[in-house]
Amino acid sequence: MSAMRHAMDGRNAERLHAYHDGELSGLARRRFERQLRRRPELRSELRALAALRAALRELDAAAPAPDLWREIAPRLPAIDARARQATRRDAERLWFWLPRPVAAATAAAAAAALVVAVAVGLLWPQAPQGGQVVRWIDGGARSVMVLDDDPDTTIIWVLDASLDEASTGGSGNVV
Amino acid sequence: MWSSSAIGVRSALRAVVFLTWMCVVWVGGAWAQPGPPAAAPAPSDVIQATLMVTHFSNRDGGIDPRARGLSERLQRQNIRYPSARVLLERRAALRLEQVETLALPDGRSARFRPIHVGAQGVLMAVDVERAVKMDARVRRGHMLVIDAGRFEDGKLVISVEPD
Repeated sequence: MSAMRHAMDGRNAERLHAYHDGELSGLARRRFERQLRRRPELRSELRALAALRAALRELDAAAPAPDLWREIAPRLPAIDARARQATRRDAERLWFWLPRPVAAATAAAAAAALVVAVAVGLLWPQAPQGGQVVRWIDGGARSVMVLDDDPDTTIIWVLDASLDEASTGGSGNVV
Repeated sequence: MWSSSAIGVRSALRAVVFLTWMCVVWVGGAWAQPGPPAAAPAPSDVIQATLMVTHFSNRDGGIDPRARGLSERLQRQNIRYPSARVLLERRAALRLEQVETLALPDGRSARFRPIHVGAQGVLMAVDVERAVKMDARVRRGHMLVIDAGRFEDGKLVISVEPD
């Protein structure tokens, strides 16, 4: 009996909080209100909860809010100055790491590589590899496999299940 | 914040430089690979090819020496027959828009009609009677192997290899 009551209390506590926060809606809210009318202990818990929340609100209001901005604002110019100095140092380090001739050579190499890549793509059409050999295929009613794993060979193979049909000329509409 | 953005810019620049040099190395490697020969044959409307009809069977007959290469290529795809006998082998000049016909021993025929002939190979329409029809682009040195259907206790296999 005690365990059941605890279980009911646990379920009801959740609904109680939801009801108090206005999160129950429609049918659930009406059901809970009906329970509230029937059960005085729920009503007392609701009152206690409301009192607790009110006390917490008062406590929050009484605590002074720290004025962080007032403390931070005077420090910002110094922080900005340090950041600008760090940026300049980073830039100097970058140019030390990447001297101008190297940067120029890199840019030139990139341009040359782009030109060469375009030229290679345009002027050297690739020979068809295994996967590009068969452009279109019609095996009629047969199941046909295209085996092109081998770079030097492409095999067109009819699945065995339909070979009898092929040997007897069963589907003359293929060719 | 300023410092982290500067580090980000520096990292991005390093990445760009690294990728650029990788591109240079890649293009250099591609350049160093053997490309098409300088004196590649001029495209014409004809290409020489070897056409072969082979009978693969489950009888104990051994592999015909002329079919050994074809048999090995099939074995690489786990297609194994204990016997292979070359029924027909022909060197043919496949000419643009002209049909080359192979007569198969069961009375059917296989027809090859080049649609485009180039320096790299040939694009052709293939028609194996009562078996398969296709358009295939076969480069020089590449072998196209076609299962032409069952014959006696094995299979007829047609192979085409432009040279």
